Amino acid sequence: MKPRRRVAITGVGLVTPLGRGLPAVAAAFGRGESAAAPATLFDASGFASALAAEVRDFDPRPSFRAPKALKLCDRRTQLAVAAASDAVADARLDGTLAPEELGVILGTSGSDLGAPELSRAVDGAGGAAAKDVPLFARKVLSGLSPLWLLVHLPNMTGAHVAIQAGARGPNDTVMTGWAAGLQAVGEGAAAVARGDAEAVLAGGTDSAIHPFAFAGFQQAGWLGGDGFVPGEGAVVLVLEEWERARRRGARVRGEVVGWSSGVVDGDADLERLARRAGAGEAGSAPRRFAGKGSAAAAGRLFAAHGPFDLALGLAAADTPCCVAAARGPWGESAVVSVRTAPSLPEGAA
Amino acid sequence: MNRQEIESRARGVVAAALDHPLDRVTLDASLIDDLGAESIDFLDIAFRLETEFGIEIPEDEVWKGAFDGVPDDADAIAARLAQLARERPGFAWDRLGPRPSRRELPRLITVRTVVDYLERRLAPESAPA
Amino acid sequence: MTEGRRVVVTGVGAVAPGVPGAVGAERLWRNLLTGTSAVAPISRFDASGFPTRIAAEVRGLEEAAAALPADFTARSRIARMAALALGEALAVSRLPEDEATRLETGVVLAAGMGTYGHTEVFAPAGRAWAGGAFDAVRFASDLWPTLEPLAADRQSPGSLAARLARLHGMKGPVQAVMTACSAGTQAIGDAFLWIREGRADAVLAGGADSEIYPMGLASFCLLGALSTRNAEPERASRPFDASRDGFVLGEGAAFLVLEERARALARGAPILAEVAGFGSACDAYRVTDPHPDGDGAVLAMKKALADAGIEPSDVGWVNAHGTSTRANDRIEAAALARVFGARLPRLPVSSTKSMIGHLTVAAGAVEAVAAVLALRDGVLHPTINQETPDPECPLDTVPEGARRVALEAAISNSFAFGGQTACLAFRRAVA
Repeated sequence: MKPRRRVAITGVGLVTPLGRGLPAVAAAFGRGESAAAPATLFDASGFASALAAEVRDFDPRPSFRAPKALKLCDRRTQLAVAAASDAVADARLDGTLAPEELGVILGTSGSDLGAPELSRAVDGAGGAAAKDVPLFARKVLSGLSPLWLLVHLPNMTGAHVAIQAGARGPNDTVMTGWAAGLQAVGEGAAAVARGDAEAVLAGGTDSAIHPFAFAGFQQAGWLGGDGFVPGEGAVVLVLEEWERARRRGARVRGEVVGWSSGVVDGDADLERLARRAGAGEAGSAPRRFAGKGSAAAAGRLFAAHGPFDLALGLAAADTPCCVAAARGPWGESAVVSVRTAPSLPEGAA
Repeated sequence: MNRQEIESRARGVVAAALDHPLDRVTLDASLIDDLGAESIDFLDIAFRLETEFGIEIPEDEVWKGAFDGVPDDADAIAARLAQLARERPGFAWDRLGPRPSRRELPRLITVRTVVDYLERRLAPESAPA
Repeated sequence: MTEGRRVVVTGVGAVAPGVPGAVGAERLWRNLLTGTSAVAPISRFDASGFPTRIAAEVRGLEEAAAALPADFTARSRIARMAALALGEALAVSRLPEDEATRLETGVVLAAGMGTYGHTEVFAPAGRAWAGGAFDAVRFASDLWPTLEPLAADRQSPGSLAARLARLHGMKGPVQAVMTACSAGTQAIGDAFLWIREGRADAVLAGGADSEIYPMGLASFCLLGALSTRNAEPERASRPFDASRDGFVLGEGAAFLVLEERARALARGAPILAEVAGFGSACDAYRVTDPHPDGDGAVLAMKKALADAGIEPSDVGWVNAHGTSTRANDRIEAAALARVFGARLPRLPVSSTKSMIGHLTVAAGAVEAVAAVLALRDGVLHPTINQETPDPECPLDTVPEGARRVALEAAISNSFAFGGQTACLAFRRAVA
């Protein structure tokens, strides 16, 4: 569908295995770098493959206005707050909006559950921890931090981003598997288009470098096969109402043309979603799927991968219309199409 | 364990839980007003104290010393506060306003509340049966 | 063409506590109208080690789920409940099964936590702590063979949303949302916007959750959020009552079939109510403390009413978030006062949670079912266990029992840990 109000992309924040910030990431991608290396976030040597694409030398602290919140943040939340903070800075958005005009819509997936903490809590119980529920209760109620649930609830990512950015507008957490981040971008664009928000911090965040994720991947037969390298990262875009962005002289990096989602079984389905996402609206202008080869370079970023490809599309100066598509193993899919800077009217770039 | 050691370790726990440098965690600092604690931080600090001191702390027991026994009545609260103000001159009493409600009383919880509680709890004669 | 598109509810389905055979929105509705509590001692596992030993459990699920395809029966309790509730809603709506309809029909599911089995996690966790340190290699090598099938699949609510769409051949947009305790309302709100804005003509929207398993119960006990009135289970969930002491866990699923109004009318569909507006906001204040003045809640309610074009004075019923925790109920009452002003004492406000507990991620969905059926029937369900009025919650909680009213519009609130707030505005269906 066509937005009622036009939606500009005025900021990009990327915290990824290929680096931080669009210029650095695009350059590393252009050089054909690969971030895959043995995992350091946990000892993965027991799995079929220990390779992971990690965000290196990451310090979340400077991105938190109130660092006390860090004790409540798992890795994906820390990455998201950093990417959101970078995106706000990139858009020079601070101070230009009332809190209720700014929304937060992020895609993510399941948490790492804090396996070491759980293990410490049931210390010494061995296999009985699983069989004897009263024993489990005694151990966990006295040995586990009361904050445990708050660290692992998926919507806490959006809560922390909203608290740090002072955003009281629409706040949604999308968990549609590998399509989640791109769907969040679509929902964010819709919120701006309908006037529910003047700007939305939209994107995805994930960190799949933990035992539960690896065990699931191995069981599914993905780990170690076919270039499958679990990764992590957060990509957040500032989606902003077009006229407002123009008025305040923001640098417009692109325009969201359309979005769609659905279950995809084959290329015909994907093409149908692309048409629904307005990919045809650029007429006969050349278009391409953004981010080809990005999984080989940056690993699988899961919920963040679609927005990652979209950002790479924004950095590519040679294509007027970019289509980012994400398709997961259960067919869950999303498409977002953007007009990139060279093709924007009125010299917006 | 003497009071000095209790105080040093308790301040370390509060500093870690609320993410402050140790020198901000003074005995008369209000956990809420001066150190930014919210309700889950009280759960968190109690859990950390249990781990640090190897004790079990029944729900809310640490904090009760700050305002225990104050009835839910504006005059009684004001009278009790006046008394507390004489006992604890180091606390910044003026921030509470003239007639605070009972719900504001947790603002009276200071680092001293924690240390006093621990000293009572860790005294040999009060060891749990 | 999206101008003037309106959204109606043509089907509801529920898997809920207190419903014999697990499935049945109408039976749930009768239970709610008669003020029947479904809270009882926890039966599915030995809860004797927990300070809270009561919950509102769904009974008879496995029998009801036997007819589901194998990929649902093998998956998780949440998946089975979702598929059954969705199936009932779809049957009620008599949505056509032709290819053209399926191309334009989407699915939004609120789901998130609670998909690992207890043994999967805690058998390896119990063995991996050695010598004061976590042995990650040991944990991994134990975890991997302990895992039940479909671990990666179960870990993603997105896979469940996709499976639900496939189960009925739906080709429209598919999404899973998870804003914790506001997610059910958020899911229906997202679906409503999709239809109004032309992204779909029909959407199956709802939620499914169960936190009634050892780690789920433990995580809420640790936060001190649950009622410990174990000796009187039926009296434990008492939203807005002065003696409330926390919420009671429930479990279940609920789905609504939302359709573009003109199409629903044209096919002669049963029209139960209209979804008129939606508001989503966030306190952006603290992680668990609600904003002391209920800013986020006020924003969500005002946005939903403005979106619907409904004046506060036209609202005849509030289905409250009403959890029975000290803080939520006090602040929700304060937020309601800011929205409804001097009229508040005369505005009926009920909490479904007083009878079936807190369905957590699915709460907003089952409470939307209650709002829709209240508008259909012109009758409000009570809030039970209203014994001692709380001066901080000066509300008409419909304490006396079901109340017949001329109801034109109702709202349903849901608020989350994290500060997410969501509100749906419904209108009575007019042909």
